[in-house]
Amino acid sequence: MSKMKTIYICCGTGCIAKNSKIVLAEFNKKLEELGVSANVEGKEEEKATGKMKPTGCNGICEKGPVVKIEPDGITYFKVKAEDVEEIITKTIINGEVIDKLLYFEPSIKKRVRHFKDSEFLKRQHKVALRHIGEVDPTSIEDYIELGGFEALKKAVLQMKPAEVLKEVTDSGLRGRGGAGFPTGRKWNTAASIDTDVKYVVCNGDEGDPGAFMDRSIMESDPYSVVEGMTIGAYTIGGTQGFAYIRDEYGLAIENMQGAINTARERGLLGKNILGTGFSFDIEIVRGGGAFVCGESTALLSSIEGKVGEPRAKYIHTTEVGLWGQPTALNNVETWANIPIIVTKGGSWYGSLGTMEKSKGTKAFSLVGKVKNTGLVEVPMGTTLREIIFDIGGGVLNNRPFKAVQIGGPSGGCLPEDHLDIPVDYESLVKADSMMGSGGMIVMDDRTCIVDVTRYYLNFLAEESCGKCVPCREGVKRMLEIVTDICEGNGREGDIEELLEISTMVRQAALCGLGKSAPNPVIASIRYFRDEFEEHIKNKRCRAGVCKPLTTFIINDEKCKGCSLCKKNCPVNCITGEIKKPHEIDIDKCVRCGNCINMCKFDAVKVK
Amino acid sequence: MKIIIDGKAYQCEKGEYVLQVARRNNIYIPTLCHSDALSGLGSCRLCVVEVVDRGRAKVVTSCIFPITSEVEVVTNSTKIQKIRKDLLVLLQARCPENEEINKLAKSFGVEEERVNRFKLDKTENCVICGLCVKACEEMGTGAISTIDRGVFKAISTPYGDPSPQCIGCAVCANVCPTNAIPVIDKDGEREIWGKKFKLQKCEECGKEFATEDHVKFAFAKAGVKSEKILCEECRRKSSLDKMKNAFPKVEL
Amino acid sequence: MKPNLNSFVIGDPKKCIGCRSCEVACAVAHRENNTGLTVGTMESPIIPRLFYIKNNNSVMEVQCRHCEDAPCASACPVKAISEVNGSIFINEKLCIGCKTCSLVCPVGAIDLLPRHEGQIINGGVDRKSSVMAYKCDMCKEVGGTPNCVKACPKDALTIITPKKSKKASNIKAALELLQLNKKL
Repeated sequence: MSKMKTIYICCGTGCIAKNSKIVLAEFNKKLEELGVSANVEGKEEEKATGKMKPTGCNGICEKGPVVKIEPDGITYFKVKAEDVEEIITKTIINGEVIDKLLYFEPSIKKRVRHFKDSEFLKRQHKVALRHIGEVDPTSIEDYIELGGFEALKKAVLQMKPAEVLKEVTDSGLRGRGGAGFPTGRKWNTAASIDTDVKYVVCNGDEGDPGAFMDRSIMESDPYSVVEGMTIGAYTIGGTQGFAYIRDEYGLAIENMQGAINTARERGLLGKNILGTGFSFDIEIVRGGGAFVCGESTALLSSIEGKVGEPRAKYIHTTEVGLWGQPTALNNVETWANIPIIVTKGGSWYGSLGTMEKSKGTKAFSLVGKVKNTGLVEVPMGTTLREIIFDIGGGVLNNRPFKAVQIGGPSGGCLPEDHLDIPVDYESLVKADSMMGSGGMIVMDDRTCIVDVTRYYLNFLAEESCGKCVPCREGVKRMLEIVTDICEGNGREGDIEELLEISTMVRQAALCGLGKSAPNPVIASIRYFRDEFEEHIKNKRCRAGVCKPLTTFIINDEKCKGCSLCKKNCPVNCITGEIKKPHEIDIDKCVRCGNCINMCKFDAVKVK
Repeated sequence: MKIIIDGKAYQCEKGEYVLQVARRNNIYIPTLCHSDALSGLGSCRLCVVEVVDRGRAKVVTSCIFPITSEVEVVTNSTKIQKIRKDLLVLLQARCPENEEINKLAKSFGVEEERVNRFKLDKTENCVICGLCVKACEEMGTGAISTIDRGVFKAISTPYGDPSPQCIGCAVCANVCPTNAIPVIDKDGEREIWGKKFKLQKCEECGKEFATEDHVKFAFAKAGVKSEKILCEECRRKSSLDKMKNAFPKVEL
Repeated sequence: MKPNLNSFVIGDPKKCIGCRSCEVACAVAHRENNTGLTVGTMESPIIPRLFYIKNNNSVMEVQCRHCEDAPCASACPVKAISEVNGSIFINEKLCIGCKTCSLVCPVGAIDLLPRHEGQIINGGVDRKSSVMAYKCDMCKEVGGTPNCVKACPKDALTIITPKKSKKASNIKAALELLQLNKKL
C-alpha cells in the first residue's frame, strides 16, 4: 500500500506575503535531503513519500502560510521554514501530529486536526471557491481530476444553448459584481439578437478597497473562469472573449493566461472546441489603474482603447456593447459559478440559501478588526452576525463592535442592531447599503464613522471619471463638508446639505459609480447621526481618531500604573510612577492613540 | 407612435430622443451641454426628466433617452425641480463669478447661502461639459481634450503646451456655453490655449478676419487656391465690380 | 457637363438702390413659426442670408451662387453643407460655427451670425448664443420662388437658371449668324 502523501501549501498572494514560497522551497529541499521526495522515480511502495502541491488561497489568510497534508487530513497554520523538517520527520514519515501548528478552535477551546472541523469552515459552503486550496492553479490535470471541464463537455456535446440558458435562469444566479442583475435574463437578451459577432467579457477589475475574492479566484482556480466563459459563449453565441484584469493583479494575470494557453492546447478553447465546430477564444486585457473601469460601460470603452468613461445605459450593453455588438459582461465570481450550475443543475443552485430572490452563495472578503481575516463563502441568507462572530471569530482584541462596512465605496456602514440582517441583495439595499462585490470590513469602537465616510468620499473624488456634474461636483462638495466636520469646522446645516446633495446625486448621476457614491454618506448619517452631530456641535470625536477633536485622558480609578502607555508614548507626554495613576500632558500629546490601544485596563478614554 | 409629456400626447418616431420631441412641441427643458451638432454628451444632467415605464418612474437625461415604447414623461415635477436646483448650486459653487451660470442659477432660485458655504474659486468658468473637445475633434484638429479624472478633471492641450494641431479657429469658444475660453485678438495676433497666432490681414482693406493657420486650413480642406486673400466684404465688393463690368449692356 | 446647372439669384448693381427689402423678405421666409405682425422683435432679430455691399457709388446684394463644386461644401469639417435639390444647403442642425466655409467662399456669400434660439430652447433665460453660418438656400425651406426676388421693388434680383441662359445665347448667336448670312 502506497503511503504517498500530498502536501498542499497555499501560494495565494496573502500567504506568499508571509513567505509561503520560502516554505515551499524548504519543503522541496528537505524532502529531497531526507529521501522522502515523491518526485524521485523508483521508490519502494511501502515507504512514505511526500509530493508538494502549491495551491491557492484557503481563505484563512490571517493564519497563513497554510499547509495541508492528505490523506492524513491534517492542517497546519503559520508554518515557518524552521518547522519544515519537523513536519516531514514527524507527520510525513511517522504520521504524528504537531499540536502547536494546529488550528485553535475558540468555540470548543481546543485544537482541531483538520481545518474542516473548524467553525470557520463548517459554516461556509464553497461553491465559487470550491477548488481553491485543492488544486494547483497551473495544473489542468488537477482541475480535470476534480471534475473540471465536465460541464463544458455536457453543455456543448449534450445540450442545446437554450437548455444551458434554462439552467442558468433556473439557478437564480445574479451578478456577483455588485448590482445583482439576473444572469439568465442578461444572457437571454444577448442570445436573442441575431448577429454574427457577439462578445463575452469577464470583469476582473476588482477595485473595492478590501475586496479580494476575484483575485483569489483568478489566481487559484483560473480554469473555472475559462470554462464558465466558454459555456457562456456557447449559450449566447459568443465568438470572442475578453478577460479584463486589473494590472495590479500580476499573479492573477499570469495564472489566467496560463490556463487560457493550456486549455487552448487541449482543444477546450479556441477553434473547433471538442471537435464540435464551436469556436471561442479569450484574450486578456490589462486594466490601466482606474477604479471606474470596473463599471461595465467604462470597461468596454477601455477594451476599445478609449478612455475609461461610462456611458448612459438606456440601451443595454447586451444589445449594443463592445464595438456595438451584443456583449455578455459578468463578474469573475459569476463566471466561476457557471460550470457547477451546469453540472449539478440550476435547481440545485437555486436550493442553496434561504432567500426568495437571492439564490446560491456569495464569497466575501472578511477584513478589518476581525480575528479571522480572510475569504469566506456562505449561502445567501446567512446573517452578518454569523459571518462576523461565528465564522470570523469576533472583533479583534475583543473590542466592542461598532459597524460593518459592506459594498465598498458603493455601500454603507451598518451598526450593531443590524447584525441580524440576512445577507442578500434586497435586504442590504433596504438598509441603505449594497452587496457590492463582497468586501466586508469590520470596525470597532476605535473607528470614527465620520472619518470612514471621509475616506470613501476621498476615494471616489479621485476615482470618479469626472464627466457628469452630480458625481464630480457632488462628491467634491460632500468631501469638503465631511472634511470640515472631521477638522472641527463643521457647521449648522451641514448634515442637511449632505443629505440634499446625496439625494440628487443618487438620482441624477450618469453611471452606477455616481449613483451609489452617496451611499456611504446616507448610511452613515442614518445610523450614526449622533456621531456627526457630536463632531459638529460638541467638537468631539468619540473614537479618538479625528485629532483636532480628540483629547485622551486617563481614568484614575481604572489605571493600575503599569506604565505600558508611558513606555510606548512617542512624545513622552505621559507621567506617573509605577503602581500609581498616570497622567497625559494634553499639550504635548499628538493623538497617536498608542496609549488607548494598548491599555489592558480600559483606563484611557476619549474625553 | 406617441408619448405623453406632462399629461398631453404627442406624436413621435421610435428612437427619437425625448428632448427632440419636447422642443418640437414647445415644451421647455433646460440644457447646458446639449447642442444639436455635437450631441450625446449627457454630462450636465440639467435636462433630466422623469420617465414612467410600466408603472416605474426613473430619472433620465432627455437629450439621450431614446423612445422605444409609449412612455409617460414628466418634465417639471418637484423631484426634477429639486435636482435642477441642486445641480445649479454645485455649478455656481464651481463657477461663482460666471455670468451664464449666474443667469441660470437665478432662474432656478438658487440660494446664495448654500453656495457660499463652500470654498469658491472666482476664476473658474469651465463646467467641463465637453462641447469644446467634441467641436475640436469634429474640426479634425483635436487640439484639446479632457485631462485627469474625478475632481481634477479639466480641459487642456496635451501637457498644457501650445498645441501643434491648434489652428486658432476658436470654434471651441463659439460652442462653449459659459464663455470659458478666452480668445484675445490684439496687435495683429490671436492668443488662445496658450498659443499665439498671426491674424490674416485682408490684402485689400487690411482688416483682420481670421488666423493665418485657419485660412490655410480652410483652403487646403476645400482644395482651392486664391490669388488674393480677402475678407468677406472685399470679396463682396469684388463681386459687385465684376457684375458691373462683365456685361455692361446685357439685360438680365 | 451636367444637363441642369444649379439655379441662383443674382443682383444687378445698375438697378439696385440698396433699400434692403430683399433682406427683410429673406428673414421673413426663414423665420420659424411664421406668425406675428412684425418681422423682427427684441428677441428674434432679422438675420438675412444675402448681404448688402457698397463700392464706388454702386450698391448690390451679394448671395450664394450655388456653385457646382461648392468650395464651402468641401471645406466644411462636419459635412453640414451639401447639395439638396439643386441648391447648396447648410444644415443648421449640424453647423458648429467654425467659419471655415465663409473663408473659402469666392464671393463672400456666407456670414457667421448669432444662432437664433427660440424661446423654447432657453426658457426665457438670456443665454449666450453661438454663431452659425448663414447663406442663401433658394428658400428651400419655404419652397418655390425665392422671397427676395418677389420683394425687390426695382426688379434688381433675377433667378438665373444656367441651362435656359445657355439656350438663349445659343439662339442669339444662331440668329446673328443668320443675319450675317443674309448680308453676304
